[in-house]
Amino acid sequence: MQRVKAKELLQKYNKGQCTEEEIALIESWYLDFRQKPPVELSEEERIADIEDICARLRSLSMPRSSLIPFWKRTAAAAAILIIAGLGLWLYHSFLKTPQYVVFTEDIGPGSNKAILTLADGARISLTETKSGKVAKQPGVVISKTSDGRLIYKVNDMSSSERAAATATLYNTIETPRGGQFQVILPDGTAVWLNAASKLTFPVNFSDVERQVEMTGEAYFEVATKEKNKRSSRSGSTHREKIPFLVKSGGQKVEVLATRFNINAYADEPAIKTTLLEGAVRVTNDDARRQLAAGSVLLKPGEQSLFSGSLRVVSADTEEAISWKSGFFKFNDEKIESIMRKLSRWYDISVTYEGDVPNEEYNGKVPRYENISQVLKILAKTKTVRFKAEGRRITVMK
Amino acid sequence: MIDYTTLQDAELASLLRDGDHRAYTEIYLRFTPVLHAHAYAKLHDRDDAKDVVQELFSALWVKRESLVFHSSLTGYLYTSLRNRILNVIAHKKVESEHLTSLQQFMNKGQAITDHLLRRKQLAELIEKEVANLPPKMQEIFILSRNRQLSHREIAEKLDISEKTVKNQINNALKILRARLGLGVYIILVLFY
Repeated sequence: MQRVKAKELLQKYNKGQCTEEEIALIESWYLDFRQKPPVELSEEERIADIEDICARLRSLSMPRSSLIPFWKRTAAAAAILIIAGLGLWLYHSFLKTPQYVVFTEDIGPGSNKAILTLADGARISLTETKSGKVAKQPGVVISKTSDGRLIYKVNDMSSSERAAATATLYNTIETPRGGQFQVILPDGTAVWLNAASKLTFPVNFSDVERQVEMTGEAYFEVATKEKNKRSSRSGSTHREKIPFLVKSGGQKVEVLATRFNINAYADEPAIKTTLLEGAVRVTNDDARRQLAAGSVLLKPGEQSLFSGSLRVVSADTEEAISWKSGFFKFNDEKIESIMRKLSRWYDISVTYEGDVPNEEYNGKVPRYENISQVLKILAKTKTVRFKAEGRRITVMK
Repeated sequence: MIDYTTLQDAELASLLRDGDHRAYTEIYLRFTPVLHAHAYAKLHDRDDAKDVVQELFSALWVKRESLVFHSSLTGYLYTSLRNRILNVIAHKKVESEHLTSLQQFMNKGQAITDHLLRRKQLAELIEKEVANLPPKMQEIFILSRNRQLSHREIAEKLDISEKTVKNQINNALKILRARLGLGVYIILVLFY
């Protein structure tokens, strides 16, 4: 029992979930704890280790000769080595072709763009409509707010509408490449759609369950909905939660009330569902791929990966919803994955020339900058170069 | 002739943000020996110690543009190293010595509530390692620490206003940056 507390506290600290007092405790313990190794390292051992670190750094995203081995015996040897090293590096930097090509016409970021398709197939561009009432469907009024969101407000149905409502009616919101949009569904659930995404939902949610379908990427804040359920035995009624289901590409996510992100782009290797708050159950719903049928229950901070079978990992929730917060966040990400994200938001096409850089990138860049800013930051690592012709970006080493 | 060994931490940090490899190299030369020694003292494992220092410097380069040093370069390096070491400790499966020690501290240890004081003591703890370093490594670090005079202290020494000092340093940095953009020229770095 005692041991568990210490380990838990350390883990909390590493996740940044500690209180001020807990932080003070861990950091004070750290100052006290274990000051000396059993045997001190010799001079040769230290030099060997430090040069080993140097070599490893050089082999990552580091320019070739910028880290110089040092602590040679004679001063003369040291001076010559340094000059030679720097000379080589300078030659690379200045005499090579420029690392980054300037755009003749920069490409701007995406914006709030979407198309709403009503139950009868009528298409309305949400980008151009002004705020106010956009359309009417049986049982709801659809309006656009002044800050650019779409809201479904439940309305009483007229008797003629009620008569006509034999089947469930669906609406679809679709964002193009370079677009994004936010919608509030009839039950109060808020959905943010990223670029190149689509959400299909019923105009009137049933009492049994609320089911929507999506492709692309969306972030959900699901509202709690309850109904009265009469117990057949005792005759008393109690409140029961109505579940919210999201179907996407063969998986089904079941939710009660919660906040989560689903990344279900067809050109990504797996469907990523990241839970921020609440609880969800992710189920393999694909009739074709019952290889590893099953479901997993996610806890906040966890992420499920679905590509035929379901797997749960712990996630960087900040990274999963960085798009919604206005950033691109990269955690050990390869260039192909980064370029896929950029291509959806900036609506560009990407080609690769020659060797593709194999590095893993870490960083955070704002989403509302022109693409040149993002590419400039990537190019500064000196591991990748870009060429732009109109909306086509070529990636090179 | 620009001698990077004479630049202060803040100046190196500023150049690093601009992508200056030599500033990065100087930071590496200055700090790796004490950081590595501290990591080894806490982790008792050469491979673990190498890993945390390598990851620290790798992240330093990759994140250089978005880094904001809330305190200072050393503040960033020391706290980042500590956090990485704590991460390694938390993930060790078999080691229980540290958990027992932490549990004992939780029961009766004296936590320092002032975070500035903790930061100061962390710096002292890490810099204490310099005494165990081979002479050449010692020198590089000690000299660089001696040069970390504040603008106010420099102003007092030279009997000029603090603002003048600040302007002069900024101008020197501007010249340095401008020079880095010009053609090829060899820099002599004296290594004593």
